[in-house]
Amino acid sequence: MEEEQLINGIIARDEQVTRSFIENYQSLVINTCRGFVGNNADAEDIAQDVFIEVIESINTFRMDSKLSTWLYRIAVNKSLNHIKKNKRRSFFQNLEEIISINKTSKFEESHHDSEHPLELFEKEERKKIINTAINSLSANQKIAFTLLKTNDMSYKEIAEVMNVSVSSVESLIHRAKINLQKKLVRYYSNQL
Amino acid sequence: MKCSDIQRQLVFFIEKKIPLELSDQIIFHLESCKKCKHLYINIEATYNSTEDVSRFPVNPFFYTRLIQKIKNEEDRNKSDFFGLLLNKLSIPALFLLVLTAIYIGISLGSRLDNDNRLLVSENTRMLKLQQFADEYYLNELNEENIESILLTDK
Repeated sequence: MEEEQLINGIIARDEQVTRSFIENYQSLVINTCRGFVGNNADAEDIAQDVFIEVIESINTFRMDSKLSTWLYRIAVNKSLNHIKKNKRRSFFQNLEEIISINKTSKFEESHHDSEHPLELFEKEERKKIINTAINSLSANQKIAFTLLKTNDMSYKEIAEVMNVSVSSVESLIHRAKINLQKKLVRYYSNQL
Repeated sequence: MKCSDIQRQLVFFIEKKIPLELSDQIIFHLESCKKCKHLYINIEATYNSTEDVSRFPVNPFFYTRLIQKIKNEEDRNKSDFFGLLLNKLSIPALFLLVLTAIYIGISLGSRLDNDNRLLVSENTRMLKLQQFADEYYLNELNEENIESILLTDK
């Protein structure tokens, strides 16, 4: 279905068209959100908010970019807002986790059932380390790096989402890698 | 190559984005330097743990949950219409109430002042009448009681 037909169908609240739209783009949105927030549950919640916003404001979409580019932008903004909001709550959550008896499994999202628990634990720890390092980057570096690494987007696609030039994206990603490298070297040097 | 030079290239070495000659030098250094080797092993494992998200399965109930959420929000908005209306009108209503109270207060205050002025002018008028009566002996009974007149009259 062409984008224009899709948009008109959503504006008209055509159930079939809306369903088709959501099913076609849900992976894109959820994966983008997951790249930022790091877990499935939050990613799905944010993705729902993204689709609700898109459906409610579809008539403001000017078609000056692809629909997917617009979806990426909304998903990135909502994910970053979620991270900001969570930073404030994280202190109390951490306290709750310390004193809570019923801890949720850290491995609930892993679908590698054959992996050894120790390997799984180590994997989770490494994910935490890299996510902490990525979250400490500047906003633009974080966006560019996350879209590249977790969504496997091209520099051109990232430039469209961020509304910057391709050379800016290259520069952002290069600096992001250098900064991540510094943090990881410092972290593991301290372990020696 | 020095360890610091190697450490500055590790991420690009992991991503295989450096020239072959430099790559060979790094490999040679890693084979002889335990510290850099330890760093390389850990950084490579950690750096590559950023997930390939396409491996995650799609939730088959995502669409159903989303539609339910939209319906719930619409229902909440409808039932909350009056609540919303009250919320929106509360500040202007409060403002009007305060203005009305101020107006009533000012009105009451100015009427009381008028009453006082009326009372004062009435008292002044009575005083003037009294003075006139006293001057022209119109109130002789004030000078002498009626009882004393009746008692002394023969």
